[in-house]
Amino acid sequence: MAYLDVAGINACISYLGATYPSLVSVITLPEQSVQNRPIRAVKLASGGGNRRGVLFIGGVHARESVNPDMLLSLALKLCQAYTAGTGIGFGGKTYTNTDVRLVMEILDLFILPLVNPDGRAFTQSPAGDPMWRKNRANNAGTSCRGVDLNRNSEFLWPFTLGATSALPCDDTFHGPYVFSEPEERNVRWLLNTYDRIHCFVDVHSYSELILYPWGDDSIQTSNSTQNFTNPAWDGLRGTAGGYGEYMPAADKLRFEKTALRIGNSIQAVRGRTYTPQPSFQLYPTTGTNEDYAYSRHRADPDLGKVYAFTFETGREFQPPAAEADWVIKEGSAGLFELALGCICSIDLVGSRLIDSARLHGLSELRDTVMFRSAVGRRLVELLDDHRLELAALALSNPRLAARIGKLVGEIAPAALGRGEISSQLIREAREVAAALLKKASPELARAVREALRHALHFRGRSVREGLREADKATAARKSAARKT
Amino acid sequence: MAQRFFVTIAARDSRDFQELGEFGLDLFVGTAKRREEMGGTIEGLLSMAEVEKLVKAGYEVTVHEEASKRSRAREIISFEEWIKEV
Repeated sequence: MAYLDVAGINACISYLGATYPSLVSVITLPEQSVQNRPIRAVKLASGGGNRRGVLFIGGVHARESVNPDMLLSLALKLCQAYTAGTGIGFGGKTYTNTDVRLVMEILDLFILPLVNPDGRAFTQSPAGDPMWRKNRANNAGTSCRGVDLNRNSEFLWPFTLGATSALPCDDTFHGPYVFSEPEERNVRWLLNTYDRIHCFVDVHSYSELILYPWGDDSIQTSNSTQNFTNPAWDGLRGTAGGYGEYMPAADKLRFEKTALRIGNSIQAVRGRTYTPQPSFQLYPTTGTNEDYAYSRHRADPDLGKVYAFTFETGREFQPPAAEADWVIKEGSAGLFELALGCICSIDLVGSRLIDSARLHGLSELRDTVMFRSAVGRRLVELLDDHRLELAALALSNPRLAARIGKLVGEIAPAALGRGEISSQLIREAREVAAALLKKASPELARAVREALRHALHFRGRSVREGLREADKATAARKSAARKT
Repeated sequence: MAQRFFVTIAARDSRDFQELGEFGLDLFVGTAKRREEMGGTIEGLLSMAEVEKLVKAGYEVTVHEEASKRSRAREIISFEEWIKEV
């Protein structure tokens, strides 16, 4: 298959909106491109409400032709599968209809297939350059045109590390000022407007990589003062100067695990290996979309956390037709897997009964208090491993979902306010677990029983104290087992 | 516009590898492969003048193909045809 041009991409967006009006909303972004082309995104969701969101963007770099087509193909296949009540397949990787329903009914999926329409038009024009990368901005004082849209956002701008340049003629020119480019302001607008976006992918080509933050320097998890907002480190990032960009250990683990799952999903398509790694392992960069999206909540604590990735698809910018079809399947499988990974079962059942501030508090509790405890980490792991089955059970059993939601709602005040967990609450938890066990797979049943074993340590204690007691009991049990 | 070629550039050591960024070249960051103490390799799209400049500076440059050989952006499909194939 050859590539869609800008008109074809717009036609596809219109088709999606017209053919699947109950699933697809077309979003016209507030700013047109430098050359006045409209830029549009789609929101895929069955049902209303402001739900946890996922944002996929593509076509940031003009010459990376395959990715806008991939994003539209994924949107189309999702709508087709959801409407027909079928699963979805990408080569050797298949997903069930339940997986499709989970994504369409639990998440708000935003897709901006073509960030940079001027650049794409230029690569496809006989008078243009098929290998053009940037947008088509006029740069003052020079005949060199264009800004690298993946260097123009607010992360360590105006610093220019490694593969970022302040020179307008360079392919990695970061622009005259931060967010100087309307195309990039549209990306920021999406993140600002849909403030429950929790996962993000900027799809690029090429190299078969799954990249995650940071791009400016190596990750470290121990010194939170070494971070991009601290001017004391300006000029020392991206060098061998002893700096490491801070990331909480729980986030690092989540990035690593998610990237691995994405890689496995892609590999199942036809056997190719996409390597997961932090972006800095390539070259230091500043102003990228991935770092901007993930760093926002640290720069402004009022903003939600966004787990941000960059995919580098395929082995060339413009693969021939047959190869492009495979690259589309691989990228689609990786993106779908990431969307599934973004589903939070507690969010699903809890959001109906407790407000988003408390849910956010619970997420914080998971990433801090629970992460510091061995039992806490294990409980989070169990929940994470079985979140999709839990979410599927909740989807098909509204009464069970309501009971779990009520329980989460009752535990939340104790967990967040350091109050005690009452005997009554423990009893309710056991009753809900018993109901869950009747519907659960053997694997989920094992996980529920394992979690229940720790319940007695929480009776009459705060969550923190309960975790401490559970850790002590687990350590004592292991020690006794070693002695025998 | 001068003809450009897909190339692979090899740097002798990590310092040379780091300094490649200062030449203002069209390098494909995603292809960078660093080797501790051994520099690394990266692919790019360069004119012959740029290749010569790099070679003079001590880099090893392998020239693969002229840019048009891997340019398929102008192979365009209409939406009507595209949707039949998806």
